[in-house]
Amino acid sequence: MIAVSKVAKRFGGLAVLGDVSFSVAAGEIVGLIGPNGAGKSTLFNILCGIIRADDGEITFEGRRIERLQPHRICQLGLTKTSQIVRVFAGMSVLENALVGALLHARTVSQARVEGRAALQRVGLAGSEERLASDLALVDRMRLELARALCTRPRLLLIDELMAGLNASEVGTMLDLLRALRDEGITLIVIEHNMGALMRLCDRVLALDAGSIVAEGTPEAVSRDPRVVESYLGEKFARALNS
Amino acid sequence: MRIDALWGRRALLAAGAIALLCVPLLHLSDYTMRIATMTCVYVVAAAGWTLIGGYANQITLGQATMFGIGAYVSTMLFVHFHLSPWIGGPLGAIAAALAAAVIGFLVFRLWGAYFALVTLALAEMVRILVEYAQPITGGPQGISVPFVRNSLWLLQFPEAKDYYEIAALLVILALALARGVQYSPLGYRLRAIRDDEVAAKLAGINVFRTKMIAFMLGAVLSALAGTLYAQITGFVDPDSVLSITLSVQLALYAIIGGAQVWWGPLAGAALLVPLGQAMTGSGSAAGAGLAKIVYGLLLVAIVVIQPLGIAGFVKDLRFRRRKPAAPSQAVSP
Repeated sequence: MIAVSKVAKRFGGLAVLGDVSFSVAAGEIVGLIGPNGAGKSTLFNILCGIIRADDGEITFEGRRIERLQPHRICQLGLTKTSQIVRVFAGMSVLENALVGALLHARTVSQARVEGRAALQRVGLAGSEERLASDLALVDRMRLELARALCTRPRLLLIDELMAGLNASEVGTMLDLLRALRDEGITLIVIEHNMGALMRLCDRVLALDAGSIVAEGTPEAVSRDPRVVESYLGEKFARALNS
Repeated sequence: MRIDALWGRRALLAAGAIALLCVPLLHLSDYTMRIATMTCVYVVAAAGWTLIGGYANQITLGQATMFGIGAYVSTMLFVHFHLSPWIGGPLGAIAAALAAAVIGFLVFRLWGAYFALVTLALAEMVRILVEYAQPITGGPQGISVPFVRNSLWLLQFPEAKDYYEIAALLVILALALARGVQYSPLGYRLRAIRDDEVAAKLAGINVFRTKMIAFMLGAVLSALAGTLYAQITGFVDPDSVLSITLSVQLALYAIIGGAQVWWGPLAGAALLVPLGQAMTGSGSAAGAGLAKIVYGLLLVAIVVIQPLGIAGFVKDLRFRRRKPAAPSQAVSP
């Protein structure tokens, strides 16, 4: 699905990512963990073209994408939801979703139908006519997911979607993400909710100081000494695996 | 129910268009009709600004360039080659669209204040170029459209008021386009860009191309208005059609009327053009100065009280009117 090879990025003198390589197969759900500042969000921004890598190659479904514009990458079927929620604040909830659907829909009314369906899926049915800026943060995150789904992604990058959700909402969200995978959407998920991540992911990548320090099943990665030291901490790791 | 509402709205729009065309039946004074005609010209020019400045919030301060290109191209073709403005106007519109493509290529990577400043600087460059190209443009002294005869084909009539029907038709055309864009995929993409450019890109929108289309379409409208202006006044010079003042005025009409809706330029120009004409028309320098002060105060008032312009007030009114209706419906099923 996607192969990332030796991607590097520096902001001025600060090396944010150095030599990151990994690949994700179609149908996988891959978690991306690491402490704040490890470069997770930067990596997402590079994958979807918001930031250009200084070095390295990214191949998405057999096509090199590291020099493409974000909208081109989105058209190919790769987009993301943002950690800092980005909805169109001056538009209604339905219009937000509709804008995503316009990528494939021929008419506004067709896009509206697709938008409604996506809102239904993420649990925003009934809020269609509300102003996006009036939504609670959690709902704005859902809206961003709906908009992303409307672009019909084949690989979706999700940056911290569980923050602020209660336990039952986390469960609903996990069900939704699994359902998306079953429909053929491959997922890479940045998440600090380790419990949710371990239930969701087939595989986890751990990023620290701009490089991948561990990779494997959620259980293996959460026991990895480097991950425990840099991110989880001894106590939490023991609790997680007990 | 929805279909009825849709047809009701269409009927209302058609009625508005017919009313606009029927204004001469009121037998207003020549002076009033002249102002009405000029108002139409500025509505069209400001509608051109709205497509990019309002819908996408790319505040360009160089829309006079498009107006000026329309005015100069048709006039020069008429003076040098005796070409009818019916041909010169569309050619001017094409020239303006090409100029918009070049300017857009230079400025669409810029953001906010930088964008506004560079569009302003480029517009000044165009004005200076026209002043230096004296042999063909008439330079700073300008160029006259010689009156040949009263003729629809030459788009020449003795009085400004005789242009009214054509100006009103152009208004209908321009606002129909602006409205069409507002509810089209292009309109939604422009709104998305206005709200968040990065999110727009992540939703698969080609931001550069979308802005470019809107800018070029707007250039066509403003240029057509420019051609009509030149025919009505019979005279074109850099100060009247290429000035910063005109660029700012066009932006003001749209912003004060409500830059995010298609009828904003109509509301803004219909309020401000007659106001400006009345004050400058008094013949005194004080009146002309007063017009500028009133513009300034209005802009400040709009920015402070209602950033969405007159359209914002209407939106509020509608909202307040609907609000009490909701519970009563709920009680009586």
